[in-house]
Amino acid sequence: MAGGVLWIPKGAAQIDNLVLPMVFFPAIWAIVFFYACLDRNLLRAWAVTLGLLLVNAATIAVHLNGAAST
Amino acid sequence: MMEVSQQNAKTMLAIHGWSGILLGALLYLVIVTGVVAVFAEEINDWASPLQHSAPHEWPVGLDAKLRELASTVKPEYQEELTMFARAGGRLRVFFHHHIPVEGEAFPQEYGAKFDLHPETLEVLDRKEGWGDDIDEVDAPNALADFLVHLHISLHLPDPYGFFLTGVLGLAMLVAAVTGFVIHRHLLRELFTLRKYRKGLLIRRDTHVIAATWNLPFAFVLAFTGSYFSFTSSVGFPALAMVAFSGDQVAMSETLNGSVAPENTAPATPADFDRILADATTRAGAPNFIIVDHYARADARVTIFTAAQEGALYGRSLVYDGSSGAADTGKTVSRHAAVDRQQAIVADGAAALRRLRRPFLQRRLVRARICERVRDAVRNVVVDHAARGDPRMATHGARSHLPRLRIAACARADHMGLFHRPRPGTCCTGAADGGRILHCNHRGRHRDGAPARYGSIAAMVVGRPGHRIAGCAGAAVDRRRAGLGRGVVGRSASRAVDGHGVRDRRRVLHLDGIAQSRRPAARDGE
Repeated sequence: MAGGVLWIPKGAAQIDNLVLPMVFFPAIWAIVFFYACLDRNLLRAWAVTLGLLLVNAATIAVHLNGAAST
Repeated sequence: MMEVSQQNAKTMLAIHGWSGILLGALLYLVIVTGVVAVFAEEINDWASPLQHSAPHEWPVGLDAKLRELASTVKPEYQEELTMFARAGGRLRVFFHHHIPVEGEAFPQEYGAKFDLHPETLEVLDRKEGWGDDIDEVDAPNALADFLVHLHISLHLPDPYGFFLTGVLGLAMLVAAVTGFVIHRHLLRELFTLRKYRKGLLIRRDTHVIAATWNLPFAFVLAFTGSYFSFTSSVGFPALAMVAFSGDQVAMSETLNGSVAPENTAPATPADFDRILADATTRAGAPNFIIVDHYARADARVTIFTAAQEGALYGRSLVYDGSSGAADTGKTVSRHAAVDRQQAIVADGAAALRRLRRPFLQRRLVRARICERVRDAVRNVVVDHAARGDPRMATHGARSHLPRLRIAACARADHMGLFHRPRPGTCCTGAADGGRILHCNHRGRHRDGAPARYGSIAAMVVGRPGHRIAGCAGAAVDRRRAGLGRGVVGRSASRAVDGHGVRDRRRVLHLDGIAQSRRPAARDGE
């Protein structure tokens, strides 16, 4: 969710990237939850969920590192 | 209502049950207190009434009273002033300033709180200290505050209370979604109450009726509840960490609008009564007022009003706190925001149309293909009847085929016959050149012979005693062809597109339309 701040377009009011992840957090969670429950291939479910988590975390880490170095 | 595979339906049923079992009791507590908390204002008025009060109306003479109170508090408390109605119509006036506190994301409010009589403006109570501490010993509002805090955080310390109620909201969301999916006859169940049956059945019907009628509300409440809880406990701090290096105040200012430049020069406050009268004329009675920098040149009055009849939400009006003039700049920016919103909506509608187009096209293709299969099956049945097999034809025509709902299917002329259903399923199929096949629920054939390759067939597979939900497939005889290829349920629609889809939830696998042609080719050999 927090990674969305970095790639969601800011929109006309310049706050869409802040508001949308917050407002749609329950929906985001529900999609991932149902996917993980319904995928019969447990390994794939793990891989997809973990992949999303890692991509999100990596995006944030790169951003924070960049912010710290500047 | 919604087509799901049997396996997915089972999983969803399990999720539906466990979400209720694990968190049902706490969820029940939150829901019950939430229902009561809707009437928090009325409960407070009832619990702590004032004699001769006219609740929730703003009295004339408030301007003079504010000047008097301001002279009795420390100058730093005039940094911010909030006013709103409390139990029995008491007017809460809180002069305060903000002090950064170790471990708190936002500066905490510290100041002097007054409760005023709504008619006489007599000071009923005065307390000085931290805002949260004052609220904790706020006797007139204690009952409703107890209920509200039980509802939003179960009286657990922050942020754990919000976190728990957020989880409860997600559990309710899961229960609502899975309930919607697993109850396939939702409309019928709205009116099904078999009250002369046994207890378990009656309880089941009652559960379904109550849940079905409340499903839209349950979904909205679960979604908004988890949103509110997680936003304050997790979402806001997490986003502030990424976007503002943890500065939640900066993020709040970004979301709520920039702060006006400071001017610490003292100034005479504007006539507050006149501002209130103007705001009431413009947007109705105020229900919450904030005054920034009272008695300073940069004073600003923000008035929030309740939604008027026919309006979805209330308005917020901004006044210059030293001149009393309405902030026209704010009005202009609001109009600009409306224009921007309309542009965004127009863009969104166009994007939605673009998104829907391929979706509709897929639906159309699927419908046409299903139509072809239905025709093929119907022809086969008629053909069998003509060849002196009326029993099977009648059986197929009367019992199953008219109710055949083909969710998705491959091309009819590439279909073979799947004749080895799993135990616990029953099936009906029709084969051109073979015989209509009907299997019992043990998975054994009751009638019929294996179909020839390349024959036209359709399959429906379901559970005994259940309406056949319908799946039609380009299945082939596994034993004779040795391929084990087939199309079942939703995967078939993807087969039409030629994608390689493997559906492991079923016995049969699909490797695309190309493989389903093989039997036909062999048959020709």
